[in-house]
Amino acid sequence: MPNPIAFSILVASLLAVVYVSWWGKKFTSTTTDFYVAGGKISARLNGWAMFGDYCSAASFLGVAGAIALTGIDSWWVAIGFFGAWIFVLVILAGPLKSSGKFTVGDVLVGRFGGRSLKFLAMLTTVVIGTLYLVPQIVGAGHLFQLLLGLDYLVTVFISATIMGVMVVMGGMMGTTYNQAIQGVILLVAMLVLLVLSAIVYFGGNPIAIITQAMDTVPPTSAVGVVGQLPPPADGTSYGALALAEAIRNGFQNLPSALTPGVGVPNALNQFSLVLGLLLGVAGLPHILIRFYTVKDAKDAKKGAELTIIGLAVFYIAVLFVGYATMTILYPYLIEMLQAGQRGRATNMAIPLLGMELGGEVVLGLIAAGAMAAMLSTSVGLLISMSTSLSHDVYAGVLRPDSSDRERLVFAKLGAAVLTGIALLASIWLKDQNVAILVAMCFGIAASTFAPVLILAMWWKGLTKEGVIAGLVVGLVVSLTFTFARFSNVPEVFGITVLGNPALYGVIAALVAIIGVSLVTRTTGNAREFMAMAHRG
Amino acid sequence: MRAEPGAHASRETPNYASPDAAGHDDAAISRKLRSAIKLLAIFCVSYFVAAMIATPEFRHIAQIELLGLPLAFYTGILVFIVGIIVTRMCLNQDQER
Repeated sequence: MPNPIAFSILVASLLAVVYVSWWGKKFTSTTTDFYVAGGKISARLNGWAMFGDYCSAASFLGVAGAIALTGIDSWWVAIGFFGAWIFVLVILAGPLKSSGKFTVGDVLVGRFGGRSLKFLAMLTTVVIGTLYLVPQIVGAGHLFQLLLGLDYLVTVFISATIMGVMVVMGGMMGTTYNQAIQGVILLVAMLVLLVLSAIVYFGGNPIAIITQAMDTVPPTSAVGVVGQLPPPADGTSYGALALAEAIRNGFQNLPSALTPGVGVPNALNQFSLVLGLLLGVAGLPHILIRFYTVKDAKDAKKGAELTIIGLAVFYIAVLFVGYATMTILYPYLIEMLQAGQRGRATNMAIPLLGMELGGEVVLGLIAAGAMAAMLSTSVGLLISMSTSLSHDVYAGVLRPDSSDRERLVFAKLGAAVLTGIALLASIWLKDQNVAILVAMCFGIAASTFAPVLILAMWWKGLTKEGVIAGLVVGLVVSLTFTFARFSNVPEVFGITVLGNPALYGVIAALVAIIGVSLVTRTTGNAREFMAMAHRG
Repeated sequence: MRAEPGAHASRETPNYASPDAAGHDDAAISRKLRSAIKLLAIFCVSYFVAAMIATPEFRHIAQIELLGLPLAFYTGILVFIVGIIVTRMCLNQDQER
């Protein structure tokens, strides 16, 4: 085994997670406890849990790794991840808590009634959740590969199995504590990386990280010219700073790591990305379900405020850590790019920085943090999908008279099948940046649940047929462009495929919702529903 | 584990069947909507301006240097600051209500 100490730390953290899940089981005596911890979670605990739930592999590994490779343009994903919470807080958090009980399906059925909406909400939840699960498994697979030196296929299988087992273990109470603890670990790990990098390599001055980046050509731009450099005068190989300086001096026309607009294809692509990120959280089931775990709308908003402050600190630290990684691991990152391992370089840059800064102990801590990010998000996803499968479809549509035990078995079997599907997709998408994969899921969520939920809360003229049309059209359009993007198809029906499907998906969904609502009349209990949603 | 009463909604009936049960105030909802739109507008201006100047079409703006660092760096940081201010304003409005 290549890294026994780091691996031991990782295993210890995993055992702690299992213990918390097991401990949380004693608070789970009803289905409400299992789905939403009985609505008894405090605002502060929920704030930390939302932070842990939200900071997935994309935030911890993908964004910092992408900044290390390409520079400031990759920071936009992090800014978008942050901005989405402002949107959710202002427009959705309070009404969502006041009008729903367990799932998005509850909200829609609360206004319109009907089994078709429950089924459609479950289908959308499962599609978004499964796709969101893929980057978590990809990230975990790469991490285990780094620690154990095993083949990627074996490591993704191990990772998916652990995630599946975690769902069988726990309910929402254990998951909440796990996510909150993991949220704290993530924030501390990122800040530790920042402080250690600054002390060890930048004379204790974090601003020096930025000024050094100003003088560094990002690895993705440097990889094409590094072969043209003359060998060092003393016959040895270049150190990190010397290599950065040689490339900077030798190729002054190349951009620096702080040059904006280099990694962004064009304004349309950027607009689609930031739109998807802004609206995405409003449609992510594993985040929305967290608002049901607190007492009332005020606690839902208070928890969101804590999450927002934590995310601001975290994502600003991510920029500094990304740049520090670029400087410290510069030759290594270029080597990985030369070897065609861009996905691995992006996703594993942060654990490698940990190894560089503090050997196996820090690598182990960072690995534990990364695994915490992936596990907390994955378990949150699987619980939200299980709840939707069991509550919306099995208990709500297929077998309303089923026993609680049967619903639970159905939910867990469903979760196992969905984990298997996500595992297969993880093998297909092994070289994708996990942050980009997550951003695509944001695009799908922004095109489906987000417009439907926002209009359900704020527009009396919304009809049931409009909701169905919006969900179907948004899902089909966003999925079509997502798979076209991954299959490298440049155009669909003459429309250019963008990096994120949100622009087309959101517009198509809004046109469908508003258009169909204007010609139909089933507005449900609009007045009563909205009074309930906006009470207090 | 036992099923919580009402743990699943009925097949066809919406949860809020009685107008009297919830009561409603269209004016209050409109006020809330207007204040939410104002807060979102403040945030979205900073968010989308910062995002769009960082594109190839407008990068000459984002590359303007202030104190040795490009404007894109400051606008990125500004999004976080505006976000936190809008968050506080939103919660303050709730308390005033």
